Amino acid sequence: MASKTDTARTKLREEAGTQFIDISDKTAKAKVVREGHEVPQVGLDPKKTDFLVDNLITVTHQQLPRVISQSISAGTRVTPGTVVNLVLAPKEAIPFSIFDELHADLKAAAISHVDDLVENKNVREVLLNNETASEVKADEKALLIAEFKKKGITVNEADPERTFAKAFDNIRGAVAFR
Amino acid sequence: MAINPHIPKTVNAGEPVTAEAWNVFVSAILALTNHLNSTEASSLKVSLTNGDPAVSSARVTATRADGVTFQAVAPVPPSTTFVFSGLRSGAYTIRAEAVGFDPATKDVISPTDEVVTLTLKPNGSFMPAVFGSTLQAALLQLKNSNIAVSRIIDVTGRDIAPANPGSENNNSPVLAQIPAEGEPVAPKGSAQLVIATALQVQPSIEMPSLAGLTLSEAQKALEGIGLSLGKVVTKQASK
Repeated sequence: MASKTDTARTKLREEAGTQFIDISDKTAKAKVVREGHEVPQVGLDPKKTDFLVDNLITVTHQQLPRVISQSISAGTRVTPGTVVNLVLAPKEAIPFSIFDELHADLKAAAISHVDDLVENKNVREVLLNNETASEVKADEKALLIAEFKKKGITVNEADPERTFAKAFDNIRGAVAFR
Repeated sequence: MAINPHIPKTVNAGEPVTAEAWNVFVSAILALTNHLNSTEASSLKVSLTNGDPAVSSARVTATRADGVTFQAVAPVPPSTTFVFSGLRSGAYTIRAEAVGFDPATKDVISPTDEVVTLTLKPNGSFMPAVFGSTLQAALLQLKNSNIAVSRIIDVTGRDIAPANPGSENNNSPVLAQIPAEGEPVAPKGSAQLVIATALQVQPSIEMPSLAGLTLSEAQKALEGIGLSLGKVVTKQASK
């Protein structure tokens, strides 16, 4: 429970422009505050904590949440210093269905579905070296079609929903989430 | 003076002319001469040595000793001479006056064959043409003409301090001026200008797409181009 002195200090801190400078010889003590309240200090058992840390799996880069929305649309001209708010989500929660011109075989898939595909160096090289499907050379195209097929993404130019261009664009977009 | 009607009386060759008839003839010539000298048959010409705009706006008058004042007919270009027609013989004070000049006077005896010349002395400045000039050049031109600038506004109605218009306005062209070109500006008078709005080019950044980046990558990308990361919300799929 906060003492009367602490309460008074808190009130004063809340007043705009009030700053306290401690000039005493005492060692400065940091107080961590969240939403106006001091965060309680937790006593942890070092041994148990170490054991836990040793047994936890490091979150990989690929597992980190990704930006799916930004408060200022891409292409908008803004002045320096503009603040941009972001919304992130884990890849598993981001469906391909948010993409434009979706390949039919990816309608129900999440971005994470093609993680191993975009991790394939050969596939990634082709995707990043060509901006559009029309630029892809024949041998590269054959490679991509074969690799896409392994992930259940079929290419059929007779089916407008399953063209190579759509598959290429969708998987190339997934590389941004790598 | 009224002129008596002439009654013609002719004589035949060899007939004698009486002294009475001769005297009537002489008297008539004398009366005619006096009439021409004393009535509306004479004219007086006045020329101003100043060029335009003094001549075009000047008013020239002649005041007789008895106080009666006559106004000269203004010159019709290309003539530059003011003309008094039909001034009675006698002494006159010729006065010329024009806006922006001190009046000038001269005493003359009419009629005279000489053109009376007068010179008007400017009592202020004349507004130069600053339309289209940059503000900086216009202010310098007005300063050299001893004309103070009392107000400057831009096309948005924003007042610009004449003494310190700011470097951003130096190259803005003058769109309007008061008074107009050539109009006199009294010694304590001033000019007003309207200028174009100075375009202020602000640096701008095209917002990139951050889709697919991790938080740290997005933060680096934003800070790298001078933007700031604000509120971040991480969401997950609803169960």
